[in-house]
Parts: sequence; C-alpha cells; structure tokens
Amino acid sequence: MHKSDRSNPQLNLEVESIVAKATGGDTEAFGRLYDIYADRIYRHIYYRTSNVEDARDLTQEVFLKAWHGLPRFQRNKASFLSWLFTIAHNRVIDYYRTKKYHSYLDNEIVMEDRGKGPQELVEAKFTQQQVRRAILQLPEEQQQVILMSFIEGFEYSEIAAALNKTEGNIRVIMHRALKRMREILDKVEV
Amino acid sequence: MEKIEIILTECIKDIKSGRATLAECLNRYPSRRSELEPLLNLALNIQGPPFMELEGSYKQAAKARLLQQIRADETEKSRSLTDVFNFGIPRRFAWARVVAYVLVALIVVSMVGGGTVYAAQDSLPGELLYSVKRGVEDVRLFFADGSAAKAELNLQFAQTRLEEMSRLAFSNRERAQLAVNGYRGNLDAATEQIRNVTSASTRCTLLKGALEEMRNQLGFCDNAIDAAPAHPEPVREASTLCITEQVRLLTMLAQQNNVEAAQINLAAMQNRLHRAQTKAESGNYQVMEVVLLQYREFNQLGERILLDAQSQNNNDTEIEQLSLAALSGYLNTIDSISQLIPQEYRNSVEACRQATLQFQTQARHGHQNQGDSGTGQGGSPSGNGGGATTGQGSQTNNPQDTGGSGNTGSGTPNHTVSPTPGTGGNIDSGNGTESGGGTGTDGGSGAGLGVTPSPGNGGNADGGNEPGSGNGTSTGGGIGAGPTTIPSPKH
Repeated sequence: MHKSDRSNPQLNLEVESIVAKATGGDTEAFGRLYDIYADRIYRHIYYRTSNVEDARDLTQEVFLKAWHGLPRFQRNKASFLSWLFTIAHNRVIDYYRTKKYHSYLDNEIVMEDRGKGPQELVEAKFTQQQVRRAILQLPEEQQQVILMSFIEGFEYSEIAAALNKTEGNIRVIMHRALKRMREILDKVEV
Repeated sequence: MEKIEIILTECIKDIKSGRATLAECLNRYPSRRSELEPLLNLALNIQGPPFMELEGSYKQAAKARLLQQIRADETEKSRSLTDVFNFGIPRRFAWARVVAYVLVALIVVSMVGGGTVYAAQDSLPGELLYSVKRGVEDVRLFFADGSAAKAELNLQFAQTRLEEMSRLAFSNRERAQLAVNGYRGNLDAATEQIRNVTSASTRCTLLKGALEEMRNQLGFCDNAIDAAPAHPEPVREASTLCITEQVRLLTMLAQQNNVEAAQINLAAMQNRLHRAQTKAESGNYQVMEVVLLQYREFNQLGERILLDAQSQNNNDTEIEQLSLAALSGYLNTIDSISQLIPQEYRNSVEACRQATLQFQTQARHGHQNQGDSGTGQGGSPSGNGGGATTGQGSQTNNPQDTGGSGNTGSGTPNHTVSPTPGTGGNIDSGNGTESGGGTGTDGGSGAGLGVTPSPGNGGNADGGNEPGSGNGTSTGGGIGAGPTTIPSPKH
C-alpha cells in the first residue's frame, strides 16, 4: 500500500510549491507533478480497468483534466494527490459507461506475490482477485472510499476532504462497504 | 455503546499501524467480536497490485505529449479574443480579473448607458463584443451565492452556448465549434458545482432540475440537427455532450434516489426511441443510428442502476417493476423500427434489441427471485393471468423466468436468448399473485416470421406484451398489454 503525501511532509511542501507554480500557468511545474504522480494514478486506474492501454490513456486524460481544473483546486481543502484521485475516479466511471458492463470484472490483474510459496501464491492470487471483484461491484462512493483507504493509503481525514464529507461519513461508508463486500464474497464462496 | 463504524475503523487503523494485533482488537470488544472479526479479516486482506511504473521511455513521451497539448490549448486560448479581456492578468489572480471586468463594465455602462453590454448579449463567438458577454457571465458567476446558484447559472449559460452554436452552424464551422467548446466548459463547471453541494436534499433537487434542463437542451440539439445545418459536426458533438451530461447527472442522482434516477432514465430511453422511430419513418437512417446509440447509453445506465439496487437490496423491487413495465413496450417500438428500415441499418437496431433484452433479463432475474420467495407484487400492471392461450410464436423470454405451464410455441425465437427449461413460479400475471410452478420450455423451435410485433398473445406472463409471430401454442401465462409509457418521475 502506498502512503499519502501527508506521511512525507517534505514532499508535501515541495508539491504545494509546485502546484502553486502550475496554477500560475507554469507548464514545466505541471510536468514535475506528472513525474511525481503519473505512476500512482496509472496503477490506480489499472487496478480498476485491468487494461494497460486504457490505463495509460486514462492517466493522460486525468492529467489534462487536472491542468484545466487547477484554478478550481486552489479553493479545495484536499491534498493535490487526493484531488487527482477524485478526477481519476470520475474518469474511470465515465470509462465504465463506454464499456460493456462488468467486462472489466472478468479480467485478472497482476498482484503482489513477494515471499510466497507456489501453493500460497495461487491461493493468495485467487483471494485477491475475488476481493478486487468485490470492490469493483460496490456502489461508486463505497468503492472510492475503500480504494483510497486500503489501496492508496489515504487517511480518513484526507478522504473526507477529497469527497467533501465528514470523517464520520467516511467511517460509515467504510463500514457499509466492508459489510457489502463480505456478503458478495460469502455468496462466491457458497 | 460505541458505534460499530468507529470501532471498526479504529481497529483497522491500529492494526495497520502496528499498534495492535487482530486478536488484541477483538479482545477489546468481546461483545462485538462476531460482527468485527469477518470485517477485520477482510479489511486486512485487501491488497493492491504491486508497485507499477509507466515504462520510462513511454512516460517521457507521454509527458511530452501532455505538455505539448497543454501548451497548444493555452496558445489557442491566448489567441482568442476572450483573453484580450483578461488584461494580461495571470490566472492565479482571477479575482483581479473579475475586479477589472466590473470596472470596465461600470465604465462602459456609464459611457454608453449600458448599450454595449446590452448589445453584447446578442454577440457570437469570434465577434468583438463576445468577450464582454462572457465577461458579464463570469462576473455573475463570481457573485453567485454558493455552489447551487453557480451550477444553475452554468446550466443557463450552457443553453446560451447552444443557441450561439445553432446560429453559427449554418455559416461558420470553426466559430460554431468555439460555442460547443464553451458548452462543454459550462457543463463541466455545472457538474463540479453540483458535486460541491454538501446538503443531500439540495443536491437532489438540483440534480432533478439539472436533468430537466438537460432534457430541454437535448431537445434543442435535436431541433438543431433537424434544421440540417451546413456544419452538422459541432451540433452532433453538442448532442453527445448533452447525453454524457445526463448520464453523469443520473449516476449522481442514483446514489441518492435510485428509483427517481431509474424513472428519469427510462423516460430518457423512451424519448430516444421515439426520436429514432420518427427518423426511421422519415427515412433519415443515419440520424436514427446515432439516436439508437444514445438510447443504448441510457439502457446501459439503467442496467447499472438496477444492478446496484439489486446488489444492495435497495428499492430493487420497485426498480425491477418499473423497468419491466417500460422495457416490453420499448422492445415493441424497436421491432416496429426494424420493420421500417432497410437491411443495412438493421444491425444497429438489433444491437439495441439485445441491449434491451439484457436489461430486461436482469430485471426479470431479480423479479423472479422475489417470486420464488412467494412475496411478489406483480410486475406489469395489466396482464390477465391464467388460461390456455394460442401463442403467436417468437418470444422474448428469459428462459429462467418461465413459470406457469410454460410455452410450447413453434416460432423461431427472434431474440437470441437460448431456450432452456425454466422452473418456478412467475409473479407477473396481472393481479400480481404468485401462481404456477411446474416447468416450461420457452422459445420454441421451428419456422416463424420472427420479427412482426403482434400484441401480446400468450406465452410469457410479463404483461403479455412480447412481440411474436409464427405459429404455436402456449399454455398458461397471461395476456395483457404492458404499458409503453412509464410513470412520470415524482418531483
């Protein structure tokens, strides 16, 4: 799991200064933001689309949209990264609409496999694919909270700021999401 | 007692940070153990993919492309006359621009008694006064009170962009395209503002108002296309943007009120089908194909709303009933369109039929599950259940839904759902009570005419409004005409 910017104050300060420059129209500064975050956004989108080519294209679109939305970001309390993730989330939702529903669920993605034996590896991969499928079947808001928390490592306060909600709301959504996932997985196991 | 969501999220935080183990967390809350344990086990099992990087050379090339595009966009912007009125102030000082607008507006008003600003209201992209018009809009947005008011203004300005586009579509493609670009900007801004509204009830009201506005704007685009402009491309793009915006707004509404979202979406599907039918009747098959694609966008969204509701057991029965009531009528319309068009255009109609059938199957599937539990409320309102009926062939059935005594039709199934034996009761017969049982073989086999929509004779008990022709008999099931219109959304 990744860490959000808050766990690295120095990076956070640097990013704030770069974002300020980019908001002033400095395209080189925006290029630096791309260097820092493109891989994170790409990985997130790949997890949700399971398609390398689409994930690359969508990553590009997210950054283009971010550039055009920068003036609006200044008024937002969320971190730049969490704001990028909300753009990515919305872009992926638009992407789902253009694809056959659920087709993205059928594909498998590469999962973490360090330090596991062959049997363990197979089981772990299977479990992770099931968990991923369950996440992708959640309603959009629950999906976003689970991904931002468990996959991207954002703190509840950051998720709340990005989604314009209270931390209490985020906890409730998280609880509902996990319950729903449990139900989905229990059905699969049956 | 502490709320479960607080306990759960604190436990997850403690375990992930190494401050506590799973066992320690569970021991802290023995009375909540059975509830907590499966959720914590699941939470700790969620992993992302390994760290992945965009390949170095690809990343560099992609970055170069991105910056190139950004610079091109900026250059275009700076070339536009609008930027003359930005007074060379960088965009980080947007407030200063607004102050400048206000000052200029005041000067202009004082000099010419508001005549210039008034005259600017009728200006079009590419004209000198257009910058004044957009500047006045920016000022109004700046002073609008809150996200809801800004969203409403943006929707109003979006309509203004459409009007500009339709006037220019007869004379100048580039300038019409500028209006469409502005339209896109207004819609994006409106959506963003709606997302920023924190009050759920305000957002819900705003979404419904915005959807009504988008319906009107789509009608405007339809009229603009029908006027056969010299440059139809920008108009088509505006129409597509309008559909995308509706889908986006409906998706947001579905998170708050999925029944209303489903109703509005079904109405949008019906609207597109009627337009496709009109175009087919007038022989304008290319426009018909585009409209059918729009229909499929809404169909897909409807299916998603239904699936989400079913997966959450959230108003799913009501949405299933609404969908079933509407979809059989839509299938009839699709069949009648199919009759009107040459062979080479039938693929797009068939794709619509298949998409609609898939949606219907999904709705029936949930409906059937309700029936199995014996608590069905009846589906399509006006069916008459029971009795032996002389069937008219090809059915549009989900085989698993066949209840009662099943069908023994001999028409060629026009819809490509494979006929397999179905079991169980069917709840869609008229008065909505569970009846039947037994087995059925649906679909039939043999020669039939297939596509002719004859009004609902026998076979399927879902309101009996299924199309069919050919010969065969069907026992059980119901007769009836399901409504082709859906109830209006509640406002």
